[in-house]
Amino acid sequence: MSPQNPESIRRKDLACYLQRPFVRDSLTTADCMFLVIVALFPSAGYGIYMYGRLAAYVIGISVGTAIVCELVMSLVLFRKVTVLDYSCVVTGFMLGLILPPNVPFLYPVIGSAAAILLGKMAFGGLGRNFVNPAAAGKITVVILYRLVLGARFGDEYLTYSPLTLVERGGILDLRELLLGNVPGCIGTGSVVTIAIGAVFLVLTNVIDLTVPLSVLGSFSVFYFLLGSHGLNAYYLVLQLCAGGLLFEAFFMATDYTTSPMSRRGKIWYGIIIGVLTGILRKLGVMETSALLALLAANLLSRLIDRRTMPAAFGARARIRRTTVHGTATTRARKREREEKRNTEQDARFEAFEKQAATQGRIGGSETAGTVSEKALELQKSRRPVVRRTPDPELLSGLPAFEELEEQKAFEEAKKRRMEQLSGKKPQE
Amino acid sequence: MARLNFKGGVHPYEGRDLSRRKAIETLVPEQGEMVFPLLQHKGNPAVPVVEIGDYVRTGQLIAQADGECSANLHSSVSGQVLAIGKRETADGSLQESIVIGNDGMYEEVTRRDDRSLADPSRRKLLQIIRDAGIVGMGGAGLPTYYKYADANPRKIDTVIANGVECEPYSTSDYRRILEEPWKLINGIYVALKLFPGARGYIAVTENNNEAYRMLRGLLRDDPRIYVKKVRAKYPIGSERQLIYALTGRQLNAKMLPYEIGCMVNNIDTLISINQAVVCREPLITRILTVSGDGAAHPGNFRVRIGMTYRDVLEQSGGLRGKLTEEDVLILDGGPMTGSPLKSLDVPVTKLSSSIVCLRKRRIVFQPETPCTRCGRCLSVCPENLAPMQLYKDAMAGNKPAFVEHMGLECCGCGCCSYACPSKISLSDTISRTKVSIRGNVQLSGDYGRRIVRS
Repeated sequence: MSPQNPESIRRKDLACYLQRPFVRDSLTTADCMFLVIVALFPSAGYGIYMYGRLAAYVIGISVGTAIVCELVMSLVLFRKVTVLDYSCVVTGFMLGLILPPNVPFLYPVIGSAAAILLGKMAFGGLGRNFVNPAAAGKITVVILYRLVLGARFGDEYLTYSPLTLVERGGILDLRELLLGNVPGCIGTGSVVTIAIGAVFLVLTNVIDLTVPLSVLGSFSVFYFLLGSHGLNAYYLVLQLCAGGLLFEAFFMATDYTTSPMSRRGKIWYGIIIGVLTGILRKLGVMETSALLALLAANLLSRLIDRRTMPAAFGARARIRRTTVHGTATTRARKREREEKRNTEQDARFEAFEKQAATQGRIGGSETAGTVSEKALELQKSRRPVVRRTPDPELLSGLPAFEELEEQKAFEEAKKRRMEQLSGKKPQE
Repeated sequence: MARLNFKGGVHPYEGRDLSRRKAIETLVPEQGEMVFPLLQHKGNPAVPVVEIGDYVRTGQLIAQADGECSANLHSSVSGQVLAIGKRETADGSLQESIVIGNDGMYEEVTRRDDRSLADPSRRKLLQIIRDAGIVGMGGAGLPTYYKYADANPRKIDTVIANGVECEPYSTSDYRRILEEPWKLINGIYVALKLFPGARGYIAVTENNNEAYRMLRGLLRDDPRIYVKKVRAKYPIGSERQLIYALTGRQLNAKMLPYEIGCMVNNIDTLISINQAVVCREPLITRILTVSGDGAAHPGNFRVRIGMTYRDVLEQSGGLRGKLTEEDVLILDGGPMTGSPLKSLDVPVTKLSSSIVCLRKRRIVFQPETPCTRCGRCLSVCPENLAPMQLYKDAMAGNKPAFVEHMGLECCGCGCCSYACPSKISLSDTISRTKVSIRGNVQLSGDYGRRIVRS
């Protein structure tokens, strides 16, 4: 056989030519991750604007560490580079955004490394983890802070954070809270930027609103019923907007890998996060309440998934036992309503309906043997389908007359066939 | 209760504009061999009734149905029977076929004309359908006689004509409705005669306004037939989804539509029934759509079964420009449920529906990445299954778990693979596992009641 060029061999065996369906949606995992990164830019931008270069360094270090860790570990464990699906960038970015700006630079490094190595790679890479990597990274930082420094994480700035301020009886202007003019973590302060990001993700169909609304809804219900201020909307909004709950509800709880797959499962997942956050806030854990609730729900998410698998369509279908009496004419009287609606649209399709008169034949034969002019024309004008373009290298090796002979033989055969066809007009 | 809609589904590129304005043209096969595989339907292969060397005429019976679930086979050309043996068919397998040499004369077999002005009785209609060898022409191929004979006429209250044609690039049903609507309507009348208590529905998609207006105009005064527009989502033409959209009744894979009082037929099948009843013509021609960005002149063609795919493609204008067979992915069927043709020299059968030529350079190769458990496959599955779970069971070889997770309910639409961002071949793997489980009676149990071909 002729030597095929390597490109054609590679193309022929690609999976996209062998397995149905042969068309796919153009969205890939890397695209989803990239869209999440874009959605996080407003929050990051505002955080850097508020807190200055420190914030930028924290985010940068965390992203950089994430990329390096993923690169190294993926080469070691899986022998291939998985950095290009951008999931490590998302993890690093998110971790950077939920850390406070004045944290020593060692901590983003440790947190990011823990997020990637322990939170993702240890389980087998993308899609196999059951805890949210960014949450795992932050909780490592919190624990280390406590163990190493013996202090509560972020104590220096937390004295002024909205939650503790209100707990001690202060009053806060809601506008400040919405804009993010309050001390807190880098990206979780401003409601406006989170909203922009969330709307972007919903419109591009990267996340759906089931988990966020479930989280916020269940937290609100819990807070109304069991919170210390009753049905007061001001305190509810305060609680919702503070402590990183919004950021977490929209960006971290909707993480694909750690949230359940079915809609019912997502609702349960959101309820668990919301209720646990409420409980923890009531018990006095302020800043890390949402995070701990998320981690607890992550531990339960595989269980939720298994228990809320959707029921197959028609699983409860039963054989109909009714018998039909009479004819359908007696049941045709309900059509009149529909008719009235449709008569006014008829005018637009008059011209088209006139064609219907010419197609009133029931019995035109489909198999009649007469060969029409048009069919003969199509036969004459056929274009042969060639298997492959002749290889120029091969042709140059053949002596010239062989190719000519083949061509001549083909032309002869074609001519003979045409004669046969045109000479064989059937008797009418 | 979803009216005219169902949960799930995707919206692939429809590709209908390439061929929807082309009227149906008749193609005549070139003189050569015409191959008729004996199995062009679900069930048992037909048994040949001709010998090698016999002269057969157009429309003559060449193979008889073998048992209840089988269909007759008629010759679509006149000529001598050259061989009865294994030949390659469109899915790549070798099947017993009858090879007839086309002499180009198309002499028809003379039949006794037993048509009378009186309406035929139910028994006579079923006999006519059986004799004509009509099978389900939407691609499924269940012998129509078998389908109708099984159903109790007192239990069927809905007859559905499936004109939605959800497969991308396919416009043959669309052109049929526009050019020969009365054949379809009469076919439905025949079906309604078989099921006197039934109401007839013709289903078209909501973006198919021409067909909808034409059919409503023709059927305005008819008390028994309703024309309905359903959502134009991808597997709306799948039987279970269409029944749910039109009647709200649910069906699972263990049940057959007649058990919930419905009878669904493709409009091509109903037109073939009309031809059989009115003109006593057997099923020997088929409308194919040649389409795709690799085809030079996409269009709709009436071809005779037995022609090679190469013949059809060449006569329709061949491939575009300087494209050769290797530059193009030629599919038998559409891009969602079709299969690639390894060789073009295979015969057209009663079940072929379209030839789609896609340029390989335009098909973007997206490598498979690990599953991120995003849940898109669940949200698009029309059967409400969890394709990711089924894929894991299939890859682990865990067949009991596959059945337990309702894997045999899968309708094979391909929506999950279409929507997956990680480009995992979910649908293909699940289909293969389904096929391997169906052979095992212990595992498949009641699922084996629905006879499937592949």
